[in-house]
Amino acid sequence: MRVQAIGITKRFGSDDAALNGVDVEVRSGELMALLGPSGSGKTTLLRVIAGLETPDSGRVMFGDEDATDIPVRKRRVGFVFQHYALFRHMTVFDNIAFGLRVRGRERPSRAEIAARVGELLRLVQLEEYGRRRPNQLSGGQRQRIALARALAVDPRVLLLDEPFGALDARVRKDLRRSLRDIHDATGRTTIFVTHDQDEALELADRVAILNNGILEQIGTPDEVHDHPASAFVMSFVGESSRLPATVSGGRVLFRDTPVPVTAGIGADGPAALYLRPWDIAFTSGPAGFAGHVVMVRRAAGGRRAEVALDGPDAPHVEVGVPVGASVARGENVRIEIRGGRIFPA
Amino acid sequence: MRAAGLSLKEPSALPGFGLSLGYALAYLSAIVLIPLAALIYRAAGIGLAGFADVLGDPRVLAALRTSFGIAFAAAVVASLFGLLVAWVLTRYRFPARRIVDAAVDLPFALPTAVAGIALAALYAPNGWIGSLLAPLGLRVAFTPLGIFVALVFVALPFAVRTVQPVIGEIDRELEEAAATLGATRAESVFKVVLPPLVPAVLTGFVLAFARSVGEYGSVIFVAGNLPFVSEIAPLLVVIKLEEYDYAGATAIATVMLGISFVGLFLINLLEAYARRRLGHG
Repeated sequence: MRVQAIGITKRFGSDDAALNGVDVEVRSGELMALLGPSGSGKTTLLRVIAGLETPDSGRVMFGDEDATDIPVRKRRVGFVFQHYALFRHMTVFDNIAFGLRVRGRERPSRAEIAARVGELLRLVQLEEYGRRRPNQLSGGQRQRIALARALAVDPRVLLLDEPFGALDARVRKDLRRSLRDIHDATGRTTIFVTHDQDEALELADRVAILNNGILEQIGTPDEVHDHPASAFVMSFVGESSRLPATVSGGRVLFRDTPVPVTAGIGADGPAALYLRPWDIAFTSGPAGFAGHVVMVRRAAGGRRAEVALDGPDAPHVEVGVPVGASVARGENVRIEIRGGRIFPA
Repeated sequence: MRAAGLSLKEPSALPGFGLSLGYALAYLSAIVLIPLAALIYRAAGIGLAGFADVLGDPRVLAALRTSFGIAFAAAVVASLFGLLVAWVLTRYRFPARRIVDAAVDLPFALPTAVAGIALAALYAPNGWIGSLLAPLGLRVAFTPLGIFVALVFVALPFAVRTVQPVIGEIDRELEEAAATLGATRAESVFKVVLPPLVPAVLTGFVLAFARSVGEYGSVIFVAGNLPFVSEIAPLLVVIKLEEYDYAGATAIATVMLGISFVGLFLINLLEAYARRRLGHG
């Protein structure tokens, strides 16, 4: 089921708009991440799609159907909350069966409910846990049950609000994998909210990046990482350092030295130069910029050296340290800029 | 593994257990246990035969039935009505909310005799409410119904105040989850919201019931106090005292104490069971 949010604006009280004319299209069967810092409006957008919030303006489309005015209980969405929201007075079985039992006249038979719940428990790999209560389960298990409960009603779209936010790193990793597997097995359109870029980039087919209630960019993980549409996306997705630069006659200058950046150069004047760690390298020649190493730290993929450049404002840049290179804190080094992206200052 | 709660001699990072337990026991003894023991001691003075005599009196039995029966009914109604009041006060924002919230406590503060006189005046056949009910053939003041109204009045704050904080803690997401799963508002309230409130409602019921059984001041003004009809057991105790029948008075009091203790104990067991069933710890 294709899901579209068209021109969604939502304001809470007299605050700045939580969402300001956001357009997002989620293709049928796609796994989409809504990524942004806290207060960016990503959760509000998810809740608008679910029908838990009413937008001030804009439409929500499920396929060709306008779902904006369909009340939440008739919208047939599966919603998974960050803190599980399991019914703790019910067993795991009863939690999953809840959505089937409240169907009124279309309520399936006992046997059908039992079969469906059993199937879902297998899907989330908790077959033996039907008779337990939520307080007898670990956080990861609870979230799996919440997922099974949301899937029980055969939702047209599955929505997850920071589903891994309350879990520790290992469980989080397992659960990500499970979500991906379940998504691939069922092919259900899925949208999840996260503030964790690794999670979004690893898991999602496409990522929508929100900031201050505005959609900054929507694209595949590679697109948003390698071709960020704005300075915000550049700094929010992946590691980067920012240097003050100037544009002059179609060239980018940092401290009057040309920098090999060609794409996206705008009008003359001050600009912001963003560098990924591998856009910067240590150099032994007289070229480049002098500085000293402030700190060396271990990042997920390798080592990073934080270098303070000599001269005015002593800007800091993060440099990728090649495998086998020895860099020590306090050492005087020279760096050269080999790439980067330029955005209006 | 050492058994928690039995660790009298274990040094603790947070000292004060011995002191606070000792103080609590001494206080409890002086204020509660010693007077109760004295009561039972005095009552025991008349012996089993004396007890049988007092309990064989139909007037005493009628008074006990009136007291416990009406207190039970009043506690049930106060619990349900209190749940509703607590719900409205916690969940909705309306102009006079704070005033209504404060008014709930008035029965706590009001001398109960004042409440009884006020209720009697209101519900008397020529009173504001009584005159409206009279054409319907309904008499409240000076009947068992009057006792019921007075007991609901004094018991209500207990029911409201025990449930209110628990309602405040209900996670909104639970109702949202129920809604996304297709539950109607009524299904969400009765299947998701109310079941976890059962232990708190039972606690409120216990307090309301205990208060109602012992209530004296408000009831005697509105009940009419007809033997075998609207005479409550505490009044009978006072009557016996005025007749210098101390043994009879303590015997009735002891029986009331025994019934209350068994009743409250059973409800507490039920509450503990509900707490476990509903997944509270």
